[in-house]
Order: sequence, then C-alpha cells, then structure tokens
Amino acid sequence: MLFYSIEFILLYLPLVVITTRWVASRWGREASISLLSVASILFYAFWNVYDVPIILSSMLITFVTGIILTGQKYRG
Amino acid sequence: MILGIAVNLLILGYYKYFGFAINEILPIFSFHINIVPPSFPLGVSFFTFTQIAYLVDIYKSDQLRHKLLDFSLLITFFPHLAAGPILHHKEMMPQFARFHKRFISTRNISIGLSIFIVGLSKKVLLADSLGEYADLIFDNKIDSHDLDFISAWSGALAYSFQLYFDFSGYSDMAIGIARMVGIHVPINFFSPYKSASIIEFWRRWHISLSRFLRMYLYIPLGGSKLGPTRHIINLFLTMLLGGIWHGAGWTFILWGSMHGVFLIINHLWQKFRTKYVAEILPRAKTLAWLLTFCVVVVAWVVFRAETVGDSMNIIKGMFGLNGFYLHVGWVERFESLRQLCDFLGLSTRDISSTHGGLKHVGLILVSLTICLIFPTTQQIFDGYQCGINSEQLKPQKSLISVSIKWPPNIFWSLLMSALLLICLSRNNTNSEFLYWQF
Repeated sequence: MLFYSIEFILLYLPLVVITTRWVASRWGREASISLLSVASILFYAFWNVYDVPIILSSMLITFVTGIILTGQKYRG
Repeated sequence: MILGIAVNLLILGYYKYFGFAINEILPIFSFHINIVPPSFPLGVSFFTFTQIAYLVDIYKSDQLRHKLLDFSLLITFFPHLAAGPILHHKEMMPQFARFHKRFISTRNISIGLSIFIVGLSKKVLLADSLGEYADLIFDNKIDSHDLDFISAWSGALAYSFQLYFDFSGYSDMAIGIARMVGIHVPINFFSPYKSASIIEFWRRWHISLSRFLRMYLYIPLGGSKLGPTRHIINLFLTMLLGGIWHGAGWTFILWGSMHGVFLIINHLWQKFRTKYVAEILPRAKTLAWLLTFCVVVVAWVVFRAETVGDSMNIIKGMFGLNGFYLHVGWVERFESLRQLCDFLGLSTRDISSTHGGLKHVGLILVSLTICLIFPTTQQIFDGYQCGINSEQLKPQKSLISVSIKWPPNIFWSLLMSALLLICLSRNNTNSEFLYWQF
C-alpha cells in the first residue's frame, strides 16, 4: 500500500484518523497509542507480512536491552 | 549497550549487505558460494537507526524511562516506517506521552492534508514524469557509451530532480499524515539545491539522516576536536558510512567517498579562505552555487547508475568527451536554430525519440525553477509549524524568490482539492518511492 495509492488515501488514512479520534475521546491516550501501533503494523503487513516478525523482534530486543541498561545503571 | 547495538547492526547487516558480501567481496578472495540473498524488509535502515539512537541515549543517561507501548509506536509509526524521516525518541516520546483527542482537530487535519497534497503533487506530477527520462539512460535503454554532453546532462539532471521531488515529496507526505493525527515529525528537506556549498547541502538534504550521522558517528569519532588530520578522517568515514547505509554496492561506496572528499575540500577551502584570501576575494555566491550543484549532480550519477562503469561513461559524456549534439526535435521546432547549429558546427541527431527533446528539457527547466525560486513546504506553511524542527531552519535570502503562504481559506482548499484529483487520476501504481530500496 503506497502513500499515493487510492486505497491508502481514500480508505486507510481516513479510517485511521477517524477511529483514532473516536478511541481517543472514548478510551483515552493509551488506547489511541495502541490503535496507532496496530494500524502501523497492519500498514507494514500490507507491504510484506513476512517482515512483520522481523520488525517486532528487533523492536523487542532493543526495548529489553534498554530496560537492562537502565536497570544496571540504577544498581551501580 | 554494545550487545543491543550489535544485534541491531547485525539485522541491518544481514539483510542489506549479505548479498553484496557473497556476490562481490568473496570473489575477490576467490570464493564462490551460491546462496540466494535475503530480500530486505521495508524500512529496516530507518527503524534500526531510530533504535540505535535510543540505545545510545539510554546508555548515556538514565533519565529515559519509556513504556513499551510508546516505544512500539516510535518504531512502527506508519508515516515514517517506509522511508523516514528518521525519528528521534527525544522529539517523539513527549508527544506520545501528551497524546489527547484534541490532537486530532479540524485544524490539524486541514494542515496535515494540505502538506500531504503538496508532497503528493511533487511525487506524482514532477518526480514520476522526470523518472521516465532518467530511466532511459540509467537503465541502459540508451547505450551509455554513446551519451554526448547534452544527453548526459539532461539525463543526470532528470535523475537529480526526480530523486529530490520523490524523496522530499515522500517526506512531506509523512509530515502531513503524522500531522493529521496531531503528531509533528522532523522536516527532512530544506531546498537542498539552493545550497552554495557541500556543507550547506548536507544541512538541507535528508536532514534527519545527516543529524543522526553527526550525533552518533561523527561526534563520537571526535568530530573536529582532535586535530586537523582526525577531522579529515572523521569527515571521510562519516560520509563513507553514510554512502554504505544507502545500500551495498560499489556505486554507493564511491558516492559516499565522493561526498567525503567534497566535504574535506569544502572545509579546507573555508579555512584557507578565512586565513589568506578573505579580503581579496569577493564572495562569488552564484559561482559557489553552480559548482556545488554540478558536483552534487555528478555524484548522483554514481549513486543511480547500475555499475561504476556505467556511471563513468555518463560522466565522460557530461565532461564533453563524447562530443556535442543537439536533439533533432529542436531544429524541427525552431528553424532558426539550424543556422546557429551550422555556425557553431553543432550537429543534430536522434538517439531516442524523447531523450534530450523539447519536453524533457522543458521539464528540467521547470524543476530547476521550482527548486531555486519556490519556497519550501515548510515556508509555505510558515506559522502553522510544519515540522518539529521548523524553528531551526531559517529561510535564506536568495536573488529571486516567490513567496507563497498557505492560509486555510476557500482558494487554497479548492486548489488542494484540484491537485488531489489530478494526482489521483494520474495514479501510477507501477512507480515506487526511490528511497524504499534503501
């Protein structure tokens, strides 16, 4: 799905904006951030489903490393 | 930290450089292996850089405490996912933390949509039309041995403008989409072809990449603080790695090295100038611009060409070593040109029905005018805070400039709707963003 494809401009984008707004006013910040993340991963999956595990695992490894790093700092 | 960065670089390295290593490096040591290289995931270069910046900063200060939720949006946020701008957690996280339904307001949606349409037009109307001409010489539809001065330059210029409109159009679209949900992302382009030096060029071209390379590579290497020799080495290394980041291949290595050398010359010249000749020599801004523009275009040829050999053929043509010819269409259109050609001893020929013809050159002239005279997207949306770093980018005085300002009114909304309709109707699903391959 490309930024200038019709399905992106007329379907995906308005849908994401409207649902995020609706979720934000109903359930607040965390729910809307989750929605945007899920929408983003869906967007990525449209391009290539098999790449989704790669980006997710890379992200998790980085985040866990970050937690370990701050943990070490607090101890030391 | 080292481990975390190593894992990130490993992923990047595996997907981007594995194929290159097997096919190009090993044969040097007379090794041959037949493995199909993995196709690399979309946007891997961009999100690994965001992650590396995050890890380095977390290592340097323990102030950073983020939730997994916000972090996952930082990495996957769809406007930037495919081709940047490279997001920085310090700019994005506070916005995610404040996220509120007010972020999605009519004001933000109309600003965002307008920025998006400006970017869309750059991509669909300008970049794609230019691309047809650029592909002619770079995809060997015309034999590159045969390129004369005018065809070589018109091909190289077509690509230079195509790349600019494509990538800056993409960045504008990303800024616009993010803005529609109330998020500001960094500006990535600031009229780079107006630059009067290579140093300036890199402050205006792909700003988020330059910033990353400066903060996480050039400065840790010591920047300019460890004496002149180290300064030169650091500049060169930074640009070389910047080149390799764009892809595995000799052309990218050469392109990075070229820019490294340009930057070194630029820095040395600056020092020399302020020390010895600043008083005698007048500032020749037009000349400086012309020189900068020409070397940038020559470097783009290397960047785009399939092989180093191809790029050398085209550059040979650009230096006039393959002769000078005029496209036959010009003489047919303007009879008076025939006499001028005879007078100058310029022969005409027809290497391809369109390349170097009227429409091609016209398109290049339009692009040049837009690049030099028109304001940047950020200037058009001045007062509506286009990107997160818009305050740092000060507009520069130029000889002639057109001032265009966007206010939300009937005229602009009609103009934008018209542009959107034109773009949608010209929709060409065969074309992709050039920067997706990096």
